[in-house]
Amino acid sequence: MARTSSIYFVADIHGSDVCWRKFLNAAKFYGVDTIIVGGDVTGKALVPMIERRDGRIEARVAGRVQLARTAAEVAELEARIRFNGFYPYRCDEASYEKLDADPAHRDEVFTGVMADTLRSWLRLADERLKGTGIRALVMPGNDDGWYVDDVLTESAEIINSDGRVLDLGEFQVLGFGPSNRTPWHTHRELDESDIADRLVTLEAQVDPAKPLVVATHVPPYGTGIDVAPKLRDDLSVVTEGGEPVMVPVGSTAVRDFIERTQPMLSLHGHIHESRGATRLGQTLAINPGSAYSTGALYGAIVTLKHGKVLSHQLVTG
Amino acid sequence: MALRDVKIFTRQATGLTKEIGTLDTFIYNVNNQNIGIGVAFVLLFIPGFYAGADIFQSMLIAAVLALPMALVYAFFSAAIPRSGGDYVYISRTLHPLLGFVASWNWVFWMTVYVGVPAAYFAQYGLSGMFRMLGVATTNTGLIDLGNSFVNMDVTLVVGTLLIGFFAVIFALGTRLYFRLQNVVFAIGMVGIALAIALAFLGNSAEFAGHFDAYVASAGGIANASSLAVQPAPYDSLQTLYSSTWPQFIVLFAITSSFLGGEVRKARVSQLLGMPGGVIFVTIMMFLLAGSVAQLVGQPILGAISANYWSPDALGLSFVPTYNEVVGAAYPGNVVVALLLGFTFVFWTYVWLPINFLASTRALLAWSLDGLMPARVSEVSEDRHTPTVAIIIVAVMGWISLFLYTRGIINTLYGIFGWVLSFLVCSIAAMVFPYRLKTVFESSPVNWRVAGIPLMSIIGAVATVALLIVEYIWWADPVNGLDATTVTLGDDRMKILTILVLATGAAWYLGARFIQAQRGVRIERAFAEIPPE
Repeated sequence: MARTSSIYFVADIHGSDVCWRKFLNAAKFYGVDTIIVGGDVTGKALVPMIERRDGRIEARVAGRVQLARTAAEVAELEARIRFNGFYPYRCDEASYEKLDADPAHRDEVFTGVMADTLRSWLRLADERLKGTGIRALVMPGNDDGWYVDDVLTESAEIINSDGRVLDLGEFQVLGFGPSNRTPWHTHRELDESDIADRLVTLEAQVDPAKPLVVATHVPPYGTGIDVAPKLRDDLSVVTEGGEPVMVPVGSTAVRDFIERTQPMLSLHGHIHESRGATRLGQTLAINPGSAYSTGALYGAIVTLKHGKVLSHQLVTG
Repeated sequence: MALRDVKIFTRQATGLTKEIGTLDTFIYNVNNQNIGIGVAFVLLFIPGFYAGADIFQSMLIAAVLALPMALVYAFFSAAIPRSGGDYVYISRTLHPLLGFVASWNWVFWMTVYVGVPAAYFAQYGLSGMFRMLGVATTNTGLIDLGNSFVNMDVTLVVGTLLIGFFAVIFALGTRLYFRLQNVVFAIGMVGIALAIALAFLGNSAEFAGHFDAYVASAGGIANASSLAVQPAPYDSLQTLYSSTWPQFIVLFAITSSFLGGEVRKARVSQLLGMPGGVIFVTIMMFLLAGSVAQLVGQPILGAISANYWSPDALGLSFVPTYNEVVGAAYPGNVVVALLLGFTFVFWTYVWLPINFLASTRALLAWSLDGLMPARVSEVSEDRHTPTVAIIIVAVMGWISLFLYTRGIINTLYGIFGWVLSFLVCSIAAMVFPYRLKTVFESSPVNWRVAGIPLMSIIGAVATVALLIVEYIWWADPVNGLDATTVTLGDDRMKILTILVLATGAAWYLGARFIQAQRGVRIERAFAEIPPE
């Protein structure tokens, strides 16, 4: 008899410590057997905590410069920074000035901090997931540097699903982290034709006899789960009547692939404000959205049986 | 190194856009406050129905009572941005059941105010425009056409077409609507500026004569100004009650709470945009009502207002709104008649699309949370718009239009119930810093005054302000919920107000039960995963 499987899927946690901790506890909390992060695990901002000569620490948090003097205050400030998905970075005034003046040095420091944070996350994952039987998949998204792949290999419990087809017994997961082109020129962006080629290559690894779940970071184009604010060249939001103009920004290649192969389920992220579920033919396509900076973990729970989706639910954990 | 030099460093990453500015949030909120219809109602109803009320104090009271609530929503939008508004604020802070009931209550009354403004379009907009044009051009056909729009059967037909028009617009995509709304809003604001200027420049000494000529030309009595009512001595209680009319406008300056940013900064744009919207609209209403009052004078305004329900006393099918009154000061001027009449039309229905859109979005959010069937959140293949949600709102709006045109519901009887949602949100703001301590402490509005979170203080002030608001909406002899027993002859509005809340709770519990049979636990949708 076919087993009932359940998946908890999130994406775009972007360095949020609290979201990662919630993710690791999600399998037990929701009673699922597979948990997946669908891309964009690293954060976007480095927050220098500048140690002044008199011992106080200063950092800009939530648009304001905040001070910490005692060890407890410093710890609290650091936690506040992490909560928003930012990386606290302790430095003295000279180091801060170098960070400010030297973009290459800043990139190096930023990358180091992101990698170290990810390592600490993986250690926590190994502690919490060991012996539980929970399958945990994490793939990098377009915002994640290439070093992320190497760091992910350091974990015993986390499987990097990017660019692979993983056989999970009752079903298989095709993972694909890169996105189509964005105005930010991020690490893992491809032209649509290249995405199409890469997906075809992955398709060759799929067992046609087994149900397929496609997890691509970028959602399929024009599905309502891929709408984002329209931007000008200077990255300002185009508004009409005071409201942002929303436009589809998903991948046409991903859409073509899903329409052609018709997996039972496709899971996506990338567009935080486009939380929703839709159908592309027989395929249920879900983007759980993201509100990582508020500490809320947006996710989707999907129950599968006999190669079909029994139920799905969007949750705010 | 100065404090202000301390920076954060961002990298090239998706989604890091520039924040939406103060001007945008300001426009977004002003859009939802109907200056034109607000002043029309203030002048149509306060002078004749609230003996001794001061219309300017009335507008000031409304602004003062609305400001704390606008701040509550501004603070929440900074603390929990990009979140779906008070449905999420209340669900996360108090309880999902309360969040849903508050949202259900919002949506019910919003759909009522999809139908009612659809009626205003003909009743106050087209009617006045055609009568003005008819008088200015001495064309009785146009006057008759204008008069026909206050026939409730015609109002129903025109309103139905308008609801259908917006349903199609939304089915084609919201972008088309916002493009349209930009133009319409500009036309409406030009109309307000024009009315203020023409009222200030009009000859108040000759106005009575011009008014008599206008009414007579429109088919009314020869000496309408003789019905002038001398204002009663000032009455503070009547002034307080009369504030329901301007409150109807300024309580809704909170729509930008749905706009949020990813990197949370001290949200100056929201903090200025929402209360700023209240202040701007109040100033505009002061200028417009003030200029019309100095042109027309309180006695004639009193005559118009006192005969709102008996326009035949003036020999008319309906009493004139401010745009017609200002136009009367320029006899025979077709351009003035056309401009004032045409620009006013765009204020009459403005709530219809705003409430329509907000209602469909709420339905989508409920559907995503499993509280509505999945079909409700499905979007069309070609236009990516939620067809089912649009149809539901259109039908609800049409039912409200029908009930309004049959005299079963009236203009403002639902506001008491609607404000209950704001009240719950203000209570949520009060306790938010304590119940979601980490979220509050990490937010850009974690300010304290004497050790107490400012958000709690503002929540408490808003709660008190909204309790006063509710008292007014209960006791006002014209619009108050308590008065509906007399005006409608039974307790139907009180029962409806309670029923809306009860059905919301029943729906939530019912949906939870049905979903549980399918193995979906609704309560999981809102439950926070323990991070440790």
